[in-house]
Amino acid sequence: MHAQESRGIDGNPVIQFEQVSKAFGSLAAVHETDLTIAEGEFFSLLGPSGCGKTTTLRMIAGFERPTSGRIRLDGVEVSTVPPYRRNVNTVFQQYALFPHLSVFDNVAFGLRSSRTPAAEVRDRVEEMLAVVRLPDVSLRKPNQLSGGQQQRVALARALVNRPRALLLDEPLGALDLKLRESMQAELKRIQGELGSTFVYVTHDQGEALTMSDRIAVMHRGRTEQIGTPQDIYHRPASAFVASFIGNANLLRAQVVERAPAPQPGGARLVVEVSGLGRYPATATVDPLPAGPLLFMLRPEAIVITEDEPAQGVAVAVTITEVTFAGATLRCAGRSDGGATLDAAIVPTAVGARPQPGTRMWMSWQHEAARLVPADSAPAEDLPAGTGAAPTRVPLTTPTTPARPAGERN
Amino acid sequence: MAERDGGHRRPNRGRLAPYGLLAPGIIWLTLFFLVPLASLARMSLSSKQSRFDFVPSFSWDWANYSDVFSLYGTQLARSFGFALAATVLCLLIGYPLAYWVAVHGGRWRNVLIGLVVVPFFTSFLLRTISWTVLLADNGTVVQAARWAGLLRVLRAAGLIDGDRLLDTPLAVIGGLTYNFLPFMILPIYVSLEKIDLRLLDAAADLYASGTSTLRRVVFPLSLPGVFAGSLLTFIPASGDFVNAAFLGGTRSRMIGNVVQDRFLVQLDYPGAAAISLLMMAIITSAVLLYAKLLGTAELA
Repeated sequence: MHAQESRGIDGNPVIQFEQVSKAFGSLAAVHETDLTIAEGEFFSLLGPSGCGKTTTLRMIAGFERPTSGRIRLDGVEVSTVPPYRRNVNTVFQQYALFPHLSVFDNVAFGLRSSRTPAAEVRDRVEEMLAVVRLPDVSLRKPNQLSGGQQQRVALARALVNRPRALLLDEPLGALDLKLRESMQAELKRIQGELGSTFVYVTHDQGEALTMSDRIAVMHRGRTEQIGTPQDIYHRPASAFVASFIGNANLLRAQVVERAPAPQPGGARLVVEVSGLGRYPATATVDPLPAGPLLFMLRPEAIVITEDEPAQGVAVAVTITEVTFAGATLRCAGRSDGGATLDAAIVPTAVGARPQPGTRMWMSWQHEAARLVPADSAPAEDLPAGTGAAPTRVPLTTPTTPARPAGERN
Repeated sequence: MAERDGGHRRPNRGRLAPYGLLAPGIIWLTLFFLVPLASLARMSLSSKQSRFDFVPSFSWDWANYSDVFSLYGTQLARSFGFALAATVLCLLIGYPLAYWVAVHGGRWRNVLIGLVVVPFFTSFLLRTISWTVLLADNGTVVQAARWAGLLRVLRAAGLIDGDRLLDTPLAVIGGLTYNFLPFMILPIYVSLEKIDLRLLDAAADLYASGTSTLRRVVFPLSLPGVFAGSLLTFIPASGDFVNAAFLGGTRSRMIGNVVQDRFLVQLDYPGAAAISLLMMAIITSAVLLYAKLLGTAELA
C-alpha cells in the first residue's frame, strides 16, 4: 500500500476519512481509507470500475454506512447520519431527475425540503439556473431536455442548496465526447465561480487530470496514491498508477547503485533493466518497498533518431511496429536484449521517419525514467509475476523527498 | 404464397396490411359491442303497448329513463357508495402492499405478486359464497367480533343492524373489496416497480425524509397505477350484483341486482336497458372527472 498524503492541504478540511472500511457481505469494497478533502478543492476519486470509488462517494453522501472507521464532515462525525440530514448534495450518474416535476420544481426540491420561504426559493432557483446557463427551460419536464441540459439541471438541483461539498458520480459518463469536453470546462468554471468543494468520481484518467486539484487513485478498495495530477502522472507510487494514468513502458528492474544522499526530485539510482541494460532512474516512493521494482518510461518521453544522440540516455532498437494515432505516431522498438519500448512521437517534416525493420535510437532525458514498486498492482496487468511483502526497507537516508517547486497549480 | 403474387404488388399490400390487422378487432367489436349497444339504446326507448305485448315496440319512451331515478334512485346511489367505499379500501390495503413488494421484495417480487393472483384460480362465485360461511351468524368471525366489541362499534356506525354480519352493507363492501383487491394491487405494483430507485436516493440527498419522499416522489409517480387500479375496481364494483346477492340483505341491494331482476325475472327489457345505459353514462362521466382531477391524462 503506497497511499501517501502528498503535501499540506490549503484550507479547512471539509471531509475526513479515518480508517474507513466498507464491506458488502464478504466483499471488501473500501479498505481502511484515510482521506482529507479541503474546502474549495476539486478532488477526484479515480479508478477502474469496482475499485470502491462510488462506494466512497456514497459513504460521504450517507447512502452507505462504513463498516468501520469514521467519516467527518466539517469536523463532526457523520458516519451514521442519514443522507437527508447531511449538508452535501450529489449529482447522480444518470442524473436521477424527478420525471414528474418541472425543471424549476426539480431545482427547488431541496430548498422546499428545508422549508425555505417561497420568495427565496424562486430567487435562488432562478439565480442557479442562470449560473448553469439554463434560464429559459424552467417550466419544461426533464424528458424534454437534451442530455447536456439534464446534466445542468442536476448540477443546479444540487448546488442550489449551497452544500459543503458537491459529490459528482461520473456525471459526464452519459454524454458524447464533444459535450463532455465542454461540460468539463463548464464544471471548472462553476466551481471557480462558487468556490465550492467538488468531489468527483470518474474512471476517465484524462478527465481527472484536466479537472482536479488533487486525485486519489483507487484500486481494489485501496487508495494507491493521493496527489496533484502532476504528482500522479510523473511520480506514480505504484505500477498500477503508472499504467492506469496515461501509458507507460514498465520493465522489470533491479537497483545496482544507490545515491549516497537524497537528490532533488527523489532518489537517483542506477538500475539494471531487464533486456535493456543499466540506466539511471528516479524512485517515485521513498523508501522503496522490498519486492519487485519496475522501470517506468512514458512513451511520449522517448525521442527517436537515426543516429546515436549526443545527449541524454539512449538505446539502439529495431522498430517492430508503427501505428498512426492521429496527432502522434506510435512506434514499438525492440532492444538487442529483447525488451520492447513503446514511443509516441510527433512526426515532423525534418525528424526521423521510423519504418518497421529499421535500426533507430530511442533516447530520453534521464529524469524521465522512474522506478516504481510493482507489489500492489494486479498480476495480470503487469509484464512479470509480482506480489511482495508489504514491508519497506529504506533506500536512502529516510527523508521526505523534496519536490521541484512550482508544479502545483 | 408471397412468391406467387410477384414483387410488384407488395407496396399495395403493405398499405392495406394495417387494416388487415385491425379487421378482426373491428368486426368483433362491431358485431358484439356496437350492434348490441345500438339495440340496447333502441330497447331503452321502447315500451310495451299492453301487458300481453311480449315484444316492446320502439316509441321514443323517455319515461323509462325518468323511472330509473324515481324507482331505483336508492339502489343507484347505494351502488356508487358501495363501489366507492370498496375502491378506497382496496387502495388503502393494496397500495402499501404493492409498495412493499416493489421496493423490498427483492428477488421474491414475482413470487409475492403471483400470490396476489392465486385466488383467481378459484371461481369468483365460489369465493363469494364461501364468505357466507365465514360470516355466518354465530360463526367464528361473528363471535370474535362480538367478543372484541366490534359489533357494537359497527352498529353505531350504521354499517350493520342487529347482531349479524351477513346480509349487511358491511358484508357487501367487504366482499367487493376482497374480490377486486388484485385489480388494484397489480397496476399500482407495475407503476411502482417502474420507478427508478435512484430517485429515492436523490430525494434523500435533497433533505426529504422517508414520508416526504413518499408524498412528493413515489406517490405522484405511481398515480397512473392508482388511476388504473381505481377504475378497474370502481367500474366493475358499481355494476356488481353477485356480492349483494349473496352477502347483502334487502337493505343492501345494488343497481346490478335491479338490472338482473328487470331483465331476467320481470322481463322488463326497456326498463333494464335504460338503467344499463344510464349506468354507462354516469360511470363514463365519473371517470372523465376523475382523470381531470388526477391530471393523469398527460401522465398515462
